[in-house]
Amino acid sequence: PGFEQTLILKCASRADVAAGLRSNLGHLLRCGAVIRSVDNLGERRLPLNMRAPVGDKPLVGHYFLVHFESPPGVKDRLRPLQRLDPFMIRGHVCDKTEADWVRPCSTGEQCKFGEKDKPNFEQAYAVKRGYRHY
Amino acid sequence: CRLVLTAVGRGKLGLSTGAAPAGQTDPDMPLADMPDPYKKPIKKCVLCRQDVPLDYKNARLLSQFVSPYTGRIYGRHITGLCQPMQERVAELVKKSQKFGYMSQNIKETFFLSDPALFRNPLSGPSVAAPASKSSKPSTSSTESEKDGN
Repeated sequence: PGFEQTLILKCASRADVAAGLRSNLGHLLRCGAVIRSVDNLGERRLPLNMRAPVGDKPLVGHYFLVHFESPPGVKDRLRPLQRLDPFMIRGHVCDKTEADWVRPCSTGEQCKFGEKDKPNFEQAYAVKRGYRHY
Repeated sequence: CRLVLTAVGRGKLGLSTGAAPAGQTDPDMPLADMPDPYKKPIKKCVLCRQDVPLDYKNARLLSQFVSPYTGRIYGRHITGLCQPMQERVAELVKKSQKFGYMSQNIKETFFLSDPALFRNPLSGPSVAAPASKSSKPSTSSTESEKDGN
């Protein structure tokens, strides 16, 4: 199945970023992935305090989006390889099946705004307690 | 005139006067295939109406549903979204934060000038109402005063 990885690499110099990208794509290939494309999303200020697995706490990261296909257990196989990577800040993998999510109201139904499915639930399912003979 | 039994749409039997041949509907009789005129229009939330595609990489869109002060996701009573869309937005915000596109504690400053999809929860319901109602009479009164003076 198809996956996409948001790779955040440390920004030291162009050569370092290239080396980091090469090593991380190598990890993917070692896990049995077929890399389809790599999108460069540019250098961005990190939105949250991220701790890199190796090294200092960075403030800026270089974002890449890697589209690849691989057998299902790729996340477990990738984790030990990413653990000691000196170039990477984050590299989470996501399924592409997320794009198949369909709105419930696209079939012509009305949007649900919290209306109860069973409006008389309390009346219908109330337990009648009366006088018990002990 | 002779009363003739004629079939009026969908096999229902009806009575019609005169020499109207079978198969032709009488204009005085109600239409069998008429759509319900009292049917309420389908109510949709903002995202469903515009058919907005949601993506965890689109931090700008997801940040519109997040507080600029605390970075928390606004509830459904504030955003006005329907139940499935609110759950989907919350799911994608969490994912975006995990993947490193969005912050958990703040909203990015360059997203603060984005148009608001709903009223600010900190301001009361009286924000919009007095401004729209009092604008017209106040301007006319001031103009008349100026003309008088």
